[in-house]
Amino acid sequence: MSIRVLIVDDSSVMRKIIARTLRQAGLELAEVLEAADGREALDKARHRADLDLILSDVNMPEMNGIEFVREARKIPDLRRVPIAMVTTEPTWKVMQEAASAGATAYVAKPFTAKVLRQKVDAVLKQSGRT
Amino acid sequence: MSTIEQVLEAAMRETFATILDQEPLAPATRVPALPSSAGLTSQVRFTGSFCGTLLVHCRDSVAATLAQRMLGTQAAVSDADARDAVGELANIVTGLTLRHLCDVASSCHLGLPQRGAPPAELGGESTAWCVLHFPCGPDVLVLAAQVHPS
Repeated sequence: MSIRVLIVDDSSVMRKIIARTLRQAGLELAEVLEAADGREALDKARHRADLDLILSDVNMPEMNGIEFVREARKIPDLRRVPIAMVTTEPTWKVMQEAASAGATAYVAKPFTAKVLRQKVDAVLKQSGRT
Repeated sequence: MSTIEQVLEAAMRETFATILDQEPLAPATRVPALPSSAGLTSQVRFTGSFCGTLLVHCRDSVAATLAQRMLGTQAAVSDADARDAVGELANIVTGLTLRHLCDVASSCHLGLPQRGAPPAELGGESTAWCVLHFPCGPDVLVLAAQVHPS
């Protein structure tokens, strides 16, 4: 299966690590979009109902990941796109805020290729994209 | 019960093993000191159940090698990527350190990685240090942290 993914993180190195790890995990990426914060992500994804997955950091300048998810869920084309939070802060508070905003799952940093693949597979299956 | 130094070392080793698929070698025995202006420094402040600052410092050449390994390339990396790599390392190590110290129900919030001079309180007697040899060569990574329960 080949997927289209948007990676949102203020660290360009981390965006590249995530893309590389997805490939290492055996996923074929048809398209990789990148954004450095929530606002840029909204601009890039606004009309992209064809996205299979969004992976978003939580702690970012301008617009953080929770705000991004909340805004993305108001956009018709993004309402059903699964969004997994990739975060160094996997506390209940953050997870509850993310879930309330409309996030589908979370992945704790640092992650192995195996863990990332398991999370992505679960999210894609849950959203009916596999 | 682990000391803060042991927690820092465990967090750094886990980060290296996961992101870089390798570990920093043995702890260095040299006396740690706050970084001079040479090299790259990134620090992350945190608040919540525990509050404080964690700092990562290394030479420019170590930061460049770190970025190459994080990106999986042998090509030269930009200064921006080297700075970014050290910042992300500080971010992840801080997150792991707090996960070692707090349970998932605790509330800890991390700030964004910042460059620049360390806060005045860092370097005092209550600072926890961890200095690890970078794999390959004599270079080291320096971690310094002030961690206080709120």
